[in-house]
Amino acid sequence: MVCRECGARYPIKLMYACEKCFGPLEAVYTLEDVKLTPDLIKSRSKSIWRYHELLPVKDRSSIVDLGTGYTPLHRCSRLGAKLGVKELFVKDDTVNPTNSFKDRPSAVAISKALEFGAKAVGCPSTGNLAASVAAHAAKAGLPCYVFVPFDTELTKVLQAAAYGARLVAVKGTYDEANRLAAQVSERFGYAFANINLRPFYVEGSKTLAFEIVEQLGWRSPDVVVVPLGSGALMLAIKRGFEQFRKLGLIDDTPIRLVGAQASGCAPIANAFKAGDEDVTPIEHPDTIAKSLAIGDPGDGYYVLKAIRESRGWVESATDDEILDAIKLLAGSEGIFAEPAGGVTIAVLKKLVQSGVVSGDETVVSCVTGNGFKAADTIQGAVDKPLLIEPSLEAFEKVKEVWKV
Amino acid sequence: MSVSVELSGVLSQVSGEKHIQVDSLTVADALETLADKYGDDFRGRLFDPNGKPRRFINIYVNGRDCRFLKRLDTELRAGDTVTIIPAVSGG
Repeated sequence: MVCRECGARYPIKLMYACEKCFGPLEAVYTLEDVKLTPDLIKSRSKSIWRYHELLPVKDRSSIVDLGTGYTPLHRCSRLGAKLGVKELFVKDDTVNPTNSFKDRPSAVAISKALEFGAKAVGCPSTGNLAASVAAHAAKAGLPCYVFVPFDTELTKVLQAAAYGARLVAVKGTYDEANRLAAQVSERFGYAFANINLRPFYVEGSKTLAFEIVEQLGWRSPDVVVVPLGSGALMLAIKRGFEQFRKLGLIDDTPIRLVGAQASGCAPIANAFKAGDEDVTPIEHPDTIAKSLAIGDPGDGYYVLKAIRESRGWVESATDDEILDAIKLLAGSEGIFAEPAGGVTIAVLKKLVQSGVVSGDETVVSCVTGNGFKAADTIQGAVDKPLLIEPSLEAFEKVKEVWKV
Repeated sequence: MSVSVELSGVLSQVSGEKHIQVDSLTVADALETLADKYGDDFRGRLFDPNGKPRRFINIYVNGRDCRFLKRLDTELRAGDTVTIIPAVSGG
């Protein structure tokens, strides 16, 4: 492992921060030894493990596989026409085993926890990761502790609870739940997915980039739109594209990285627009996009740098714009997204209108979580059923409501 | 002002203590006092080469991130607790 900040190297163990400067640690690979070809990858199982040489789990008997990954990349002509993008694709991670992209990093993290012989696993979470880690822990037969902010959507917590997680609702924000979990992992020696397993955990999300390239027919998109919470997903996707370039699986065509945040928690978008090098945290996030409500994004500095280097952009969308985008995506393409997915569509819409994204570019928008995850939030924004008597006359009357 | 400082991880290993009492008027003052007390190794981990606290260290005063207060200029009162921990990315 190597420190992203100062370059110090460490042997592989349960740790997340550099001992010299506290910078984040990253897994490094000897890519010269990796021989991957499109044909070899195509012959393998349709899960993230088809790219196992580029994931940090050495002992393949430790792999915990719920079938995560290889989710559809939908060509979205109807939505594209509405937004003004000729070639628009949606990477649909709503159909992962626990219905969010988090299954990618948690599959890797819990597999690694087994490899380390951890006695318990867990995570702090805004909800999606809780369900995902809990499911993988159940499959691995490990006890799982989950720390969520007390206002997390009930459905997300229920999901984790059903998988048998030991749930702790923290009276505070995500950042406070996160800090407590870090202290717990240190005190009790637990392996927490996004804390001391983090160098391995973040690697799982790279597979989104791998799949996008493969499903586009071994080419890269011009623009990729990614929701930003901590920023880890964006950095992982960038790393995925870079590794495929180094392996000669795609050429050097530049890929513009576009970050999407909710206006009620947009520390990275704010810093981008202000031209700041670093991110000023938001103490009290206020958005329906709970899975993005991270006021102190740990990877914010690096995400800003990566996005600027790629000549990309960061934009935010209001709660109303997010809800409209959820309905637009669902109504145009049959994909039901949670608010974090609505954010990417809402932001793309804005950026096409402002000319930042051209209608001629190949755009991939990442939809990272299922709408059922936020049913409580979305139900107020969709039409209620019209109650009628069981007669044809009654239906003919209400039919006029839809003017068909 | 006598305030409590809580260290974790490597910082507490270098200092050899997790809980320390210092007399400091501000957060900056408390950090400087600690760096003087525990020597160059500790100082090098706490501050970057420009003398600023490292990007990946978070400092809390009574549980509140000092970036939401007056950052390093946050005043300390007798009995306050300053917690210094490596930043956790989350997400």
